[in-house]
Amino acid sequence: MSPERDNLNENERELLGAQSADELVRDQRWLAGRLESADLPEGLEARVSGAIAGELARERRGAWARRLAVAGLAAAMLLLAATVWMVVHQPATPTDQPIATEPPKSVVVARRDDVDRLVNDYVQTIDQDVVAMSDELAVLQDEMSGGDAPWRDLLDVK
Amino acid sequence: MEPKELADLIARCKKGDQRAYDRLVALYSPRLYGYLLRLVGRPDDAEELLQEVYLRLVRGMERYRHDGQLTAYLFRIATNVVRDRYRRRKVRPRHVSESETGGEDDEGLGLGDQVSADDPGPDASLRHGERSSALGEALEKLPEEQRQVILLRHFSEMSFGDIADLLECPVGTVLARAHRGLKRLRELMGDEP
Repeated sequence: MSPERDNLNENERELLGAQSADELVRDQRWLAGRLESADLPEGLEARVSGAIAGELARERRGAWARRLAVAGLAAAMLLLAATVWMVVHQPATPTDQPIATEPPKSVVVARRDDVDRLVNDYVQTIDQDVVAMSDELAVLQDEMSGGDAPWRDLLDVK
Repeated sequence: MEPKELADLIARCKKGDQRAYDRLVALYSPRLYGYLLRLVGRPDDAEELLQEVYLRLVRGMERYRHDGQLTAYLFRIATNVVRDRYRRRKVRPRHVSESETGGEDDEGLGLGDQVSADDPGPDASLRHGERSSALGEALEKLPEEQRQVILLRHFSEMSFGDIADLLECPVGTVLARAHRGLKRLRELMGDEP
């Protein structure tokens, strides 16, 4: 230990007491002259160096594994995001279409044809009725204009 | 080493430069190994712990903000590594603690809870030449808490305040441990003033 490190600071001297502090400093110097660093056993430095090399290699492998894991996680997140985007933005399928408010055009056409036909039939029927009624009215007018019209008997209740 | 040179070295370490780490190993291992060996008392354990210190340095290098205190940072790791090891194994260094010897303060850091049944014992740890020296043996006789403070102060050159932070105890306690420990060490060495 270097001589300057042997010394105690004021707080330490106060804690220990002046006499004990002086003794401690003296005894530290005494020990410093006798206790030396141990000689390293043969090959210890090489073994330590080998252990460090192994640890460094393990750390490098760990770093690569961490990078791969991060890259894999990022890819998975991207894939998930892309899938969500596609689901949200995909065109609507037939089952997803809103309920039609109008029938298909072919149906409309078919119904219109039917309606036209019905209307025509109805009009023709009315025309025929009108013609028939006109004929009857003409017969009635002829009979009324005659002397012995049957309608007189019907009215003559008494 | 110059502060700028050390900062450059750390910047290279942050980029995963193996040679920069090798340089740190060469620079700091003697002191770290000395600390660990005298703290745990077994050369094999000290070697393992030294490797663990550097592995934790590599793992934490990305978060490390250099403020010129790499030495303190390394010794902080070393102290935590020892603490973790002996907590996990439920084994403690074979040295006695202050509380076992009736020391004045027993609130300090304990490295473990009990001695393992397969503890190799004192004989197995006498392989290292220095430890068989008188000073090594005297250090082993010190209570664990005192020895840790003395070794941290000696090898790391941390301030007593930093040591107190690391060991999570008051500065006064750390100072008292250092004072009593060194005094006891001189007595054991028969070198009293």
